[in-house]
This record gives sequence, structure tokens and C-alpha cells, in this order.
Amino acid sequence: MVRSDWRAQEIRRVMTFTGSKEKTARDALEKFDWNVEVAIDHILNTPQVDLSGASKVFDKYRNADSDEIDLDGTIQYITDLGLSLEEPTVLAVAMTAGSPSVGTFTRKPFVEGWAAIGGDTLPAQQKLCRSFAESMTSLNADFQKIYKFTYGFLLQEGQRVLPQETAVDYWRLLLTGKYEHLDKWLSFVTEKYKRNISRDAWNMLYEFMLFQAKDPSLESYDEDGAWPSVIDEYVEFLKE
Amino acid sequence: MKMTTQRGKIKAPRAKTSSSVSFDKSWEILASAMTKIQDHESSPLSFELLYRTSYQLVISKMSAQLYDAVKCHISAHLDKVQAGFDPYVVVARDDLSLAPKFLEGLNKQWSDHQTCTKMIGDVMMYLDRVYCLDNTSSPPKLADLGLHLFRDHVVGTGPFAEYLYKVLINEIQREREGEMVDRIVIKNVLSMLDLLPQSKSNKESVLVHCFSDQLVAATTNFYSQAARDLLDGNKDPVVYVTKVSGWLEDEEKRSKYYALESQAYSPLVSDLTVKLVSTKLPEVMALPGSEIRKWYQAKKFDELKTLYRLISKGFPQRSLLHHLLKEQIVSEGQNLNSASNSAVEAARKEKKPSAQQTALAHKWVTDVLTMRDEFAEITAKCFDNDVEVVKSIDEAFVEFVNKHARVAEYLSLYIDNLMKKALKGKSDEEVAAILDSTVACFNFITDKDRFENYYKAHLGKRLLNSKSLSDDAERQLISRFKMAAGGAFTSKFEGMFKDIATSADEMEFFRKSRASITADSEPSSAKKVELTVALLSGTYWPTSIAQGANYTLIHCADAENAKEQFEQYYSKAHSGRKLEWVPNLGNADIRIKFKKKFHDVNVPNPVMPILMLFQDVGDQSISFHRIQMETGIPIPDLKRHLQSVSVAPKTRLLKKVPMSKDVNETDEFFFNENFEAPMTKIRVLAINATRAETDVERDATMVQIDKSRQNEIDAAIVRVMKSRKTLNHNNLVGEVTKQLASRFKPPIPTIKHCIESLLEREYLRRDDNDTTLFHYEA
Repeated sequence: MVRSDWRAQEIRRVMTFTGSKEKTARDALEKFDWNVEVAIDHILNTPQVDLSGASKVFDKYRNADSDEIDLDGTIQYITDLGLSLEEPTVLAVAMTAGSPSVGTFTRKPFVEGWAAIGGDTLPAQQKLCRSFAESMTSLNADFQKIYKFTYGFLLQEGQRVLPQETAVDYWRLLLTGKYEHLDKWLSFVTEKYKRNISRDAWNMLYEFMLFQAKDPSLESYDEDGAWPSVIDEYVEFLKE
Repeated sequence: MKMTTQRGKIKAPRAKTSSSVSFDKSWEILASAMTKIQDHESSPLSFELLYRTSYQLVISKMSAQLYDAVKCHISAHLDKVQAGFDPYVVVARDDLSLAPKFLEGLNKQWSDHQTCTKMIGDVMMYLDRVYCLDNTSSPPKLADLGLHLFRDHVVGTGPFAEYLYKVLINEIQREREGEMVDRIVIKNVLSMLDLLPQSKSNKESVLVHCFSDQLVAATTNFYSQAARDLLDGNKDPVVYVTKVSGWLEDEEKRSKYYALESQAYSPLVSDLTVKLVSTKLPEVMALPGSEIRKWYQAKKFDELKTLYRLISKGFPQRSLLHHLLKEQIVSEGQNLNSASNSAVEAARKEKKPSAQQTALAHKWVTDVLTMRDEFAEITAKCFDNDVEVVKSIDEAFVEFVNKHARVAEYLSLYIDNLMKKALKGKSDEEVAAILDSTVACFNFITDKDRFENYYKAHLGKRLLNSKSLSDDAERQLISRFKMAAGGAFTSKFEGMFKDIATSADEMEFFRKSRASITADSEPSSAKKVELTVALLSGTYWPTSIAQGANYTLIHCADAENAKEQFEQYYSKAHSGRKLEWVPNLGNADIRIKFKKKFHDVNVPNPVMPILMLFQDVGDQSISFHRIQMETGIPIPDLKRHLQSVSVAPKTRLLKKVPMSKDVNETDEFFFNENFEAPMTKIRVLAINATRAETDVERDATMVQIDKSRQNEIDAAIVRVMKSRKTLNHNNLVGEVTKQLASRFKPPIPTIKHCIESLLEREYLRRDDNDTTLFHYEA
């Protein structure tokens, strides 16, 4: 009893100092081995987010058996967000909510992901989706994050490389209107390259699009450089 | 203590200024003396008197007057001297036949003038010391005054100088053309011009300032014309090189004799070198007849040496020579290559077997080596063994040798032939020389891994069939390879040798153990088959050697028995080792009784069980299928073996029904009792002797090599990344290329493929921000 009293005191000290809730104080103290100063520092430096709102949204769509949002839940959720499944914004949602694979959301990343950017309610999330859509109209840093995330998101369990058809579908989804030579790239991949797509190839295509935008004639392209060979072949294809 | 010093004062002696000194009187004495000196009548003069007279004038402050008077006096004399040359300079100015006389006269006047100046200077020493100070504003010392006056009053810049220069150039030209001239006079006159300063302020000599350019221009013109004439004539580079080199040497010698190197002649020689060598020689060496190898073959060693000297003079780092050698060697080499390729093509059209390929391989390598030996001799004999030149030659060889698609295979075949036949009867020194040049050719190959592959296969066959003439030569060659390419390259070859040696020891033990077993247990009726086994470690020997050997050959009972005994012995002696028999290698000796006599027949291993089937059947036939069943030999192999014992005329040990050239699966075979041969010992040929690959085989070899290359590149990338952890793409490619240089030259696309596969397998990771950077993921 003596010991727990001592702990309760420490918790109270942290609570009064930081103005945080009891649970936050206890978690921080436990995490840092009951070092009051470090725990206070930690609490003050960690932005406090209220997870309860996002949690309620998750509860609405989850499958009670597995505590996950499954495929049906996902379809309902996406529809309720005002999105269709065939639009790139869905990928931004998947990244924000840390979806491990197509058609699945798990609680922790979902709640924390949305809460961190203020998506506490469905309407708030809808509003955020609209701003996602706006930021996804050009090849910018935010979009690159979504692009890179997509590769891992699409890989199914046990898969190391992305099947070519899947890659082509998602390139079309993500890059239409953003990459002016998309048709050429897709016909190169389907007619000439005909192999599955490695993560490196996926990521480096993005770099190449930026490169090509700067040097449309590709004069400064160096095939002995660090480009993967799929891009080398593509450049050769373009030059023919 | 107080010191007192009494200083004695030295008083300056009071100068006796006798203002009674008269300049005119004194000068009269001096002037007449000077005239006497100039007329060579100086002996009666009193130096003391003259010295005192001039001294008195100086201390009477009449220096300037005196100096001017001396100057005038000498000038007047020199004017007379110059006038004395009028008969040449004015009257006969175009008649250069008088030139020698003129020079002689001038030389005499010059040396007189110098003597006079010296004597006058001695007399006027005090004037010189007091009046002519060592600064630019004061009048020149008398000795210098003499030079200035000679310059102004004799040589001048007018017709006399013109005539003088013309005469000098003419005389030098006469000498150049081999006529007799008075070289001493010319030399003296030239050094006179060299002594005369251009002006009081400009210390450069008249020679350099006025004459040198004219001389250089005249000489260069002469030689340029001569060079043009030379090239208009026979256009022979050899002649050009020899002549030009001779000219340059002449001019160098001449300039040394006239002691003009530092002044007038050095621009001349370097000018000539630029005109005749630097600008002209590349053009000349592009003419027909400039092939260095042909000069060598015509034994023009001196000419080659001359060429080397000439190029050394005219080109920094002898760039022209490097260029010529590279161009000529590569072009000759490509001729060899295309000759070799078209011979291959011709052989293919005639459907000649690949045996002829071996001859072609031998020819090509011999041609290359001959050429290499020739160039080695050229550099040693004529090019000073110039290290840089040797390097250029090697580069040229590397360039064309590797353009030949079969270089690796051909060199290995060439060595095979050496070891089996060509080294026969050669002395140790000869063998060493041949091996040296062979290794030189080996060094030219960039794809050493390909060579290793072929060499392993060929060496393996030589060792197994004991075809090498000399073990020592084989080992010498391998140790040379080791020096050239490192121990990793030769470890497998050495392993193969070791296996052969171990096999011999092993057989010794086996025989002993077998003898004791036989004595104990075996029934005496069993016929004993001698067995010798070569034990090959799988890692050393080429896989090709066991190709098509994945069947179990069924021997006759006695032979099987021996085989079993060996297996038992071996598993007892070395537990845990796995033995695998390679049935299509090896030989068997059988004694067969024919109607006429016994013959000792040496047959390939699989032929033995075939023949043994006929041991007790008398005149009954055995069908193809039964033979196949009872020996276990695959059909295609069996067909070929039967061909060699039932169709080949010299070794027809079996009869075949029906008689035909090809063996068919429906054929029946009989023992050929009536076989006869002149020799007791007969040999049935093995079906696969060493020969060049067919195209199909070559493709297979290439695929195999490419695969092992990919593994090597993978390994190299991992090695590099393991130690460097993070490296950018270009450095990684560079490091990998460097590591593999002794094996082959990895193409960049292949390296990239390997990097990508390592990225996929997550050995490497591309940096998120800098896409040219790779990280090693342990």
C-alpha cells in the first residue's frame, strides 16, 4: 500500500503540473520508469489528441468479431465519405488511416491517423478528403508519399513484386492527368517490358517523371547512371 | 688609467699641378704611337712614356678631350679598313667566288683590330679607370669602345653588312653541300659577330640580332625544298626518315662546331625539327611503306632506330609513335581476325568437322604471337625498350584480340596443341620462350573467366588421358598464369593436378589391400581385372567432363567385381566421401584372340563391356537391343561406340549385318574372327577428342559463363557494400568493375541488373532522398 500511495502521489504531481488526465500521466510514468521529470517533458512535448471521436467513427464500421473494418465495412465507409472506390483520394484515405492492405482498416492506426489531423467526425473526415483531392492534382511531395505508399498497400501477403496488371491499373488511377506520357509508359510496360514491377521500379518511375518534365528531350539522360534498367529500356523505347 | 693617444696625421701629397701640360703636344705623341700600333710598328715605342703622357692628360682634367681624340683616331683607321674591302663589297658584290678571300681579309682585320685595341687600352689604362666608369651614363671602356667602333665603321648596317651576311650564308651552304671551305675563318667571323653588341644599351649580339634570322630562314628554306623534292620523288617513308635524320644531325654538329648552340643555331635546329618532323612526319608515315612491321621484316633496324630518335625529337611523349603503333597493330590484327573468321565460315560451308577448327585456332594464335614477338623485338632493339611504347603496343593487342569472338577458346586450343604435340623435341629454353609468349597472349584477354572455362576442360582431358608431353611444361605454364592473374585463377588447375597425383598414391594402397584380400578369400578361378581409378574432386573439374555420363555402365562380372572392391576399399579408407563413376571417360586394355593372332586392344571404357559380350558366344550374333540392355549405354552413345568397332576400317573387331555405314537399332553383330592388323597393339579411338566447340556448344558455354558471371557480380556488389555500407551508384559500379578486372569486364547494364535483383531481395536499399545512393541492409 505504501508503494501504491507513492505512485498515486507521483501521478498526481504529473497531473497537476501538466494538466493532463490520470491515464496519460500514468502511461507516461510507466513508460519512463517513474521518472517524473522525463514523464512531464514527454507529456508537454507530445501533442495531446483526443482519440475518442475518431474511435467512434471506427466503431461504426467495424466488424465486432475481429475489431477491424473489413471489406464490407470499407465499402460502406468509403461511400459515406462521399467517395467512389475508383478515385485516387481513396489511397490518401488508406495512407492516412494506415490501412495494411486493400479493404482492411485496423483500429490503432485508423484512430491515431485521423485524430492527428483533426478527423474526429465523419463530416470532418469528408472535409479532409476534399483537401486530399485538391493536393493530389500535381506531382508534389504529398502526392509522392501517397504514390510510394500505394506499392506496399497493393502487395498481397507473400508477394514481393507487384503483378503487372495491378501496377498498370493503379498507375492509370494515380497518374492520369499528371504524367503526360502515361499512355506511352503503359504501352511500354504491357507490350515491351512485360514483367512484374519491383518496388524500385515503381519508386524510380516517379523520379523519372520529374526528370522528364525538366528535360523533355531526355538529352541529359545517362543510361550508365543510377536509373534502374526498366527506365533505361523505357528511354530507349521513347527514343525509337 | 688614462689613455692618451696621439694621432699622427697623414697628409696628402701635394699634387704637382703643372698647368704647363699641353694637350696638343701630348696628343701628338699618343696619336703617332697609335698609328704605329695600327701599322704593326709598335716595337720601338716606350710604354712608360706613353702611359705617363696619357696619365698627365687625365690628371690635367683633359680626359674627355683625350677620349674623343682616341675615338676619332680609331674611327678614321677603321673607315680606311672598310674602304679596303670595297673591291669585294662594291665592285664584285655579286661574285661570291671571292667570298673566301673576303672572309679571310675580314678575319685578319678583326684580329688586328683586337690586338690594337688591347695595346691602346694598355697605354690609356688610367683614362679607362678614371673616365670610363661602370655605369650606363659614362662612356664605354676602351675595349668596348673598340667593339662599338668596329661595328659602326666596318660592319655597319649598309652594303658591307649585307654582303657579309650573304657571304656567310653562302659559305655555310657550300659546306652543307660538301664543298671545302675554310671553317676556321667562318668560325672566327661568326664569333666576331657574336662579340659585337647590338648597341650600347642592347647587349644582344649582332649575330643574334641581325644575322641569325637570315641564316635560319635560308636554311629552313633550303631543307623545306629538299624535303619537298624528296616526297615528290619516290615517296618512300624510309628514305625520308633516314635523310631528315641525317640532315638534323648535320646541322646539330655544325652548330656545335661553330659554337652557336645557344645563340643563332638553336632556333635553327628546333625550327627545322618542327618543319620536317612535327608537321611533316605524320603525313609521311601515312604513306604506303610506312608499316613499322614491314620495316622490321626487311631488317631495317637502323631505320627504325632513326625513326624512334626522330619522333623523340619532334613529338612530346613520342605521341606519333604511340599513335602509329596502335593504328597499325589494330589494323593488322583485324586482318588476322577477319582472315580467321572467313576461314571458319569456309570450313562451315564445306561441312568440315570441327577438327579443322583446331587448326584454325592454332593458326590465329600463332599469327598473333608472331606479331607480338616481332613487336617485342622491335621495342627491344630499336625503341630503347621504352616502357610507354610497350604499354601502347599491349593496348593495341588487347583491343583487337578481344574483338575475336573465340579468343578464349582459341588460346586454350592452342595450348592444348602445344602440350600434346608442338612442344616435342624443344629445349628447355625454347619451351620457356614459347610459354612466355603464350602468357603474353593470355594477358591480352579481358574475359579471363571464359578462358578459365575452356582451359579447365582441355586440361582435364589432357590429364585424364595422359596426353601431355610434359608435366613440367604444364606446371610451368600454370605458375605463369598464377603470376599474371593471381592464385584464385589457378587454384582449380592446381587442384586437378593434385587429384591426379593423389589418385596415383591411392591406387598404390588399393593394390596392396586388394592383393591381401584376394589371397584370403577370392576363388582362384576368378579372373583378375587390373583397375586404375582417377579420383576427381567435383569442385576442381569442369562439369562438361561428365556430360552425358549420367548412366550406369554395366561391366562384365570380373570388371564389376574389381569396381566393387575399389568402392569397398575407398569407403573404408575415406568414410563420408561419395564416389560417382563417370563411365564415358577412361580406357580399357583387352587381349583378344583372333584367328590369326592375339591383339592387345586399347578401347574406351564403354567399349569394353560391349566386346566382352562376344567372349563366349562363338559365331552367334547379338542384337543392338541386347547390347544396349546388357551394357546400359544410352542409344546415341552406343551407336557411336559400335560405329568405331564395327564400321571404322582399321578397328573392325565386330561384323555388322547388314553392312552399312550407319549403325541402326535393328542391326545384328558378330565377332570378327578374321580381323587382322599389322601391329599387335591396336587402339580404338575415343569418340570425343579435344576439338573446337560447335556453335550450339558455344552458345551453351556462353549461357553458363553468363550465369556464373552474374553470381560473381552479385558477390562483388555484396562484398563492396558490406565494407562500405553506403555508396553511390557510380562508385559502386567502379568498385565492382575494379574487383572483377582480373576475371572479365562486366558490362554496366549487367551490373545494374544485379543491383536491381539485390534491391528486390532487400540486400540493398535505395536512399529515400538521394536516388543515386545505395545502403547495405545486413
